[in-house]
Amino acid sequence: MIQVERLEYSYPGAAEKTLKGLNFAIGRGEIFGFLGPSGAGKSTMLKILIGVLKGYAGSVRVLGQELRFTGPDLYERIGVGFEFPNFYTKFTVLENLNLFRSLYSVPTEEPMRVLDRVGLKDAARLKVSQLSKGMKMRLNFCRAILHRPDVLFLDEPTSGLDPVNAKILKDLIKEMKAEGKTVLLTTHHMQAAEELCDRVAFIVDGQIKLIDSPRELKLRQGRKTVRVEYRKEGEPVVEEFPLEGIGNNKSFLQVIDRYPVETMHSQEATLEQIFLETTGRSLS
Amino acid sequence: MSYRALLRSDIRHLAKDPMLMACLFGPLAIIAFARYAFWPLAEWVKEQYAFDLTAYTGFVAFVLLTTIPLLTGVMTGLLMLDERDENLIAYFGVTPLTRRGYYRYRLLFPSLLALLSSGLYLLASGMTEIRAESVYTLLLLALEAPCIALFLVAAADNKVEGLALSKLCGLLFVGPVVAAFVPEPWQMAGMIVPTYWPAKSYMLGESREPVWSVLSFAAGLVYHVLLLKRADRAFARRMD
Repeated sequence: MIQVERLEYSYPGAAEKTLKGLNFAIGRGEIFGFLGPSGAGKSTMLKILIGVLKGYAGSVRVLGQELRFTGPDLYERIGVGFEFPNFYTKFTVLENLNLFRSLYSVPTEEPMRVLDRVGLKDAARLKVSQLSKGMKMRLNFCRAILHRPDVLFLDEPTSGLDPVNAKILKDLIKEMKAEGKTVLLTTHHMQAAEELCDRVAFIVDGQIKLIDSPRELKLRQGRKTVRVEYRKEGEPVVEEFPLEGIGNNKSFLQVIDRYPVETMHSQEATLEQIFLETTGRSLS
Repeated sequence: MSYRALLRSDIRHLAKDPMLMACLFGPLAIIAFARYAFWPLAEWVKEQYAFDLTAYTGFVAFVLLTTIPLLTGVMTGLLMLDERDENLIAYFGVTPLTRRGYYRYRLLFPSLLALLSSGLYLLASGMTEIRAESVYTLLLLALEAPCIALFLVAAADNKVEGLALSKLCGLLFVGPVVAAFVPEPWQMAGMIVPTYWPAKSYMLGESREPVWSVLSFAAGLVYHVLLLKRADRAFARRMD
């Protein structure tokens, strides 16, 4: 669905390239996450992929079309959700959706049906200015899928949301995947990326440093041990055991047999740890 | 299809904002004033102050006419500022409308509105004669509206600043004043004011000087196109 080869981009007047030779491909029904700190090039990447920035070098193909040469038709097949929801705040939710819906020539969803799906049916007649941030983000998502796009681009879809609203949005994104849609998202939130993405790419200083499934990355970069916390004569004790041959490891078997175990975790890395190790930069 | 949707949204927007509503219906109020209030007012001024306002009918008619693109331009500028403040222009850019389509609509809308309202003014105000030269005036006035709209969005950071700047647009009345009253060599100074050109073309037409009227129109057209291009570039820079 998306093929990027040797992509480079420089903003006019900038001395340094913002994107430096990126290569990746995203398949149908895949949720792909771009992770990285502010200023790493995520937003530039997204702007290129949604056809806003055209003066790039290399090749960027979305739905088989080289973006440099695409016209308005591309937007009939892709959906975009910006980080900050942008609506006519004086208009109602329904008025907004009806307006944006009428910009498309392809068949679109019934706004009330989509609102129902994201739990906003009761808010249909409210002005957008009356909505909470979480409701606006859900509405943002609604608008992005109104025209049943094949590819969905979401910029920081869970940014600033409480856990309940974040979960609603994550579930909706997973539903998109189940319907065979391709989703590309950018995020600072490692947990969201871990939960949602089939693959992630760490982008730092305009380059992709790592690209793989969160599971693979976590296993590859983690320690192959089990960390056990238990009580020995009332005192807390922490011990690590190698995963290899754990079933025959006498000390491990002795611990779990003799003492009350409080926690026991395999020591794969978290995405945040991987990021810090790879880049030496924080995810703020 | 997209333009119809935007037009519907504009109508809804206008209905919710008294300032924009005033800008939309202002031209009708101006036409009504010209038709029903100017002549009785001129008579009253003559009786009270022995001053014959009708001797300046052409000038007053043009000042009133200048107000029409000013109102439609300010209205469009404020709508665009609203849309920019709420980041909607960026979103239109990723729909089949595209950013270019949005600009086209936003520049066509005030032009057509100014053209229609100004045409209606010439037909119905009872203060003007319809001549071939009137067409030139109408065309230049139709270009004034998008120039004003783009000036507002290029110069203002937000709608509040846009409102303040719209007051500055009152300076455009200097154009007809210079064209009507300033002696020839000094008129050059007024050429920088966009409204000077339609005023000059209109007044030369009234004085039965069709060739000079056409030349003024041509010069005005070039000047307005240059202004539009410049304002468009400034606006695009702000958007990027």
